[in-house]
Amino acid sequence: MASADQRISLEIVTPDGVALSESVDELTAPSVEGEFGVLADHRPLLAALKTGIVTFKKGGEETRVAVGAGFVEIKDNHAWVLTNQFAQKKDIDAVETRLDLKEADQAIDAFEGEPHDPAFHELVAREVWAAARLELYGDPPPPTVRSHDLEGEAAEFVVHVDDDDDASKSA
Amino acid sequence: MANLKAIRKRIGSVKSTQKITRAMKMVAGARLAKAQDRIVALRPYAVKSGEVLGEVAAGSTSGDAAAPDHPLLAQRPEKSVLIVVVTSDRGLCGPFNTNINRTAERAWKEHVGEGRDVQIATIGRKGRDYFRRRNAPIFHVFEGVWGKLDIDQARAVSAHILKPFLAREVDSIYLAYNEFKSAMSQEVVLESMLPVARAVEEAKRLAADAGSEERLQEEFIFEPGKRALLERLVPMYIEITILRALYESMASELGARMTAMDAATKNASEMIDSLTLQYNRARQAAITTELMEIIGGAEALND
Repeated sequence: MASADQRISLEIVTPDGVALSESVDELTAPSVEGEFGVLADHRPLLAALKTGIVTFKKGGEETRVAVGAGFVEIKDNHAWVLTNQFAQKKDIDAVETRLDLKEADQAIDAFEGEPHDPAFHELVAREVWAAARLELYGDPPPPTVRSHDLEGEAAEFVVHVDDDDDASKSA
Repeated sequence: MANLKAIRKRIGSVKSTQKITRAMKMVAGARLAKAQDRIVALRPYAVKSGEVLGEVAAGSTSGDAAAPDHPLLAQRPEKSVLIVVVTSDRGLCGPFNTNINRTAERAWKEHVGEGRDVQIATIGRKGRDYFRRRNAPIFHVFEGVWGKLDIDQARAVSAHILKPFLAREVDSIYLAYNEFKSAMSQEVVLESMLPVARAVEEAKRLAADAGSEERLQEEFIFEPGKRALLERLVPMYIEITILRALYESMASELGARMTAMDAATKNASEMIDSLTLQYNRARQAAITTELMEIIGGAEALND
């Protein structure tokens, strides 16, 4: 089935519009369960993305872009990436991003409250996003930055819900 | 003569009012173009996220006995209702706020009439004032949303209204806002946001409107599992729904203000015209009287 010239049309969509629209040969995206690659004629797939780097190849040329947490849907050689944040290498101001990272890091250190607090998630998301942009820039932050072991927690959209059981008990 | 002076003063004041209404119309018009762009830009994201939600939720509501329905998808008997009312902070935009407030109030009274508990959350000062005056049970007043309108505002609102739904204090959430049709017209919309089953229908309708192709029958791979996906998708979908409503309302407000100010400017022109006519008449009358007096005086001398 898969012919050599079959391509995937990749669209990265943010609330501010379609950020990127390309026809690509292959792409790699960071799902919450790890990186995965997509070639043409992939099975339909719906995955949650974490903040990180999306890589795509087009005629042997590789491009990397940074995306925030979101979703990806693969269907009929179409790939839609839904995310709140998107950055290309040329748009990144390394100094500003470093400052952002530092500020978020300090705010996390100073944070006193429950780790489930949305404000805390916001901070972690900000830190992870800054780290992802720096990585794309080619100046990755030191691994001491806690973002990496918190990444699972950082998904912006997760709402923590009590299990059904204890509600039925209390009812 | 006193009359003449009064009319002249009146004309002056109407003229300066007209200047203000004309300026407001221009400003609203300029901002409207930007607000419209934002709606258009958000569309692909809104449509796609609705489709994605539909795809995940479709399987989840039917069958799949192993995994109980997600709390965010829960459909409980509708006993208590939350209505989120989106109005503007500022007035001078015609019937814009009155329409939305009346619709929301009617919905409130209807739900109460059917024995449901109703709470109201307001976005925008006009809604807040309206419902405070009527002693409505206010769940929350969102302040300063219009100052810096972006996804973060929508996220804050969404997080806040999801809490009572998850805590089972509220069984359904409605959103009342003005949908932007054109610069001349807005439509009041009362949309059901949660339970999400209805929202999914809404999303499908939206997708159909946008003319996107029919979904495939093929089975999706879900990573990491339906439940985990839904935990992320539903809040995101709610966020987008709110953001869209905010954008629509913003554009509607500007459109309504433009129309209202345009009408006001026209009315001022008419008023100036009729006042000018009055002024000229009075002036002529004064001249005529004066002439009569002079002629009368001259004739008296001739005799």
